[in-house]
Amino acid sequence: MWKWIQAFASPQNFYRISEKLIPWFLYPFIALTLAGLYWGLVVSPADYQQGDSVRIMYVHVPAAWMSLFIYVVMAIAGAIGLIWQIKLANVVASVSAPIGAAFTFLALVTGAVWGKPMWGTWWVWDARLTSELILLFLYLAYMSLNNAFDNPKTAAKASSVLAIVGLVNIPIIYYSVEWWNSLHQGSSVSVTKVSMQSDMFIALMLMSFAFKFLYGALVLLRARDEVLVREQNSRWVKDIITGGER
Amino acid sequence: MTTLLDLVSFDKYTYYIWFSYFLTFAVISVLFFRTKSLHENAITQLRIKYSRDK
Repeated sequence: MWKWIQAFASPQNFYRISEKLIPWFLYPFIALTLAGLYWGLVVSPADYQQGDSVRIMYVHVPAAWMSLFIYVVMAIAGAIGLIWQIKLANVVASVSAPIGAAFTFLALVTGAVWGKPMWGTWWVWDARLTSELILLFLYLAYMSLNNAFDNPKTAAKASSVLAIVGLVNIPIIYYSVEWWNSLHQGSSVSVTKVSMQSDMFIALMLMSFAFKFLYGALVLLRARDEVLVREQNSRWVKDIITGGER
Repeated sequence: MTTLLDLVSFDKYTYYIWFSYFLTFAVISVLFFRTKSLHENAITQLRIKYSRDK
């Protein structure tokens, strides 16, 4: 396993293998999104308390889950880059940051749009919303720090340390609705229980997996370009570019 | 019979729901277009570098 990881983690092998992997993420993303939209907007019923506004959940909750998931991936990749000096791990961390920031932005805005008709306000400074906003600032800080150095190694070191330190915010976001009194509702889905109607759960899962595949496709696409730029002095990159391979 | 208007109308929440979905797919589109433009930039940058090196 470790041998396979090391082989895959070499920039040249990654570039070659990732090309074959991209369709395996892109097509499931399209299929799951279409199914999720149908289930979320047509099949799933209105909530007995929140009415049709509950349909915002099918984009809000998967976006919020992705914002946490991508941050954890980014921090773990950063740590791997720091400890084992694997170049590809730093690439994965750096290309994940803007995608994670986009999902965090989506979670915040769709949450505000859902909050207005339910709570009567777009925003409250409660623990869940504030900690999610801090997550967005962490992503932005990571991206700024990563672009602040000319040397990619120094940039990766500094930004990875920030990502690892910022990891403390993830359990705060997740447990904020339990630790503090919050206007935000508690979790309806956990590993042990699902407290929602089955069609609602199916729509939520379809969109959630669609976003996971989207992230996979975007990371592979962006990482391929980042690898080419970082390895521009290698013979294999020159062969690809001058040979006309895109 | 269900009309198209019934399908796209969600009581008093119609605008909230469609805005959320529109924004989501706008952000996803931006992510894809940005990825494409980064790819074009990377390839152009490298082609210029290698043509200078010749």
